[in-house]
Amino acid sequence: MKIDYTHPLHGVRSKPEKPQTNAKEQWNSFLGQLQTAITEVDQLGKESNKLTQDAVLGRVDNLHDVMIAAEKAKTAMNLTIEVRNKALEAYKEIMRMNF
Amino acid sequence: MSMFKGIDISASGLTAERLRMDVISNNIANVNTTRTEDGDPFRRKMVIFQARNAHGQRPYQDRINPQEPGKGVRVNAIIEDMTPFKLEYEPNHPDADSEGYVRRPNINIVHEMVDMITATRAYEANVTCINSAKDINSAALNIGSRG
Repeated sequence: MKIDYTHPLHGVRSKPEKPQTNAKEQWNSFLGQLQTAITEVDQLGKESNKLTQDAVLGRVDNLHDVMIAAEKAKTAMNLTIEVRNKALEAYKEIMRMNF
Repeated sequence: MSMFKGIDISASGLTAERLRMDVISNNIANVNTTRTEDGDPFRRKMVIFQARNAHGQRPYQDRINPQEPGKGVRVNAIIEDMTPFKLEYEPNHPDADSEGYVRRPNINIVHEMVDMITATRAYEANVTCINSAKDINSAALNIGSRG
């Protein structure tokens, strides 16, 4: 398999997109993806918590694993916040529209 | 998440270098050890690093499909240095043989110190890699933000 690294959406598009007909479907698909992403972020946070607890109790082999888990959780959290801000921004933009 | 792939790769480097550091520390701690459980003096230990392939354990699997980054490094084995022991004339030592020679470990302390510096620097290089990976993630999150 030849991987084209120059494609901007490589790795983002997991399955071939089916044409979405209405806004509701699109919204639900967006919500579903957001839910999955948030679960993943939560998972990273829990992992970091567990490792921190282990470190405090002296049960951890590699200190860097703790720091890396914390860093991953932080990055994922920032990403979530950024996505939330973008969604809110779009919502506000729509609310400001004059009919 | 593939967002953290670079971090995971560097983390494997950190773990490997830390283990190497432990082995070097053990060598330095045992530089004068004349007895072990099997009766010989302490033998110098070394670590063997192996690349972790992206596609599986066998090397050919990566040769067929080389278009992906690997998965970092792992310690394949810790082996013993089989160079001969150093002999020192010290007839009063309890471990001396019938001619008065004591077998000392085959460890050169200067060599171990240099190895330790290398391991420290390699660890730091991996930390720098992790920080860079983190920084590019934060930079990406700043796309579109004002100021």
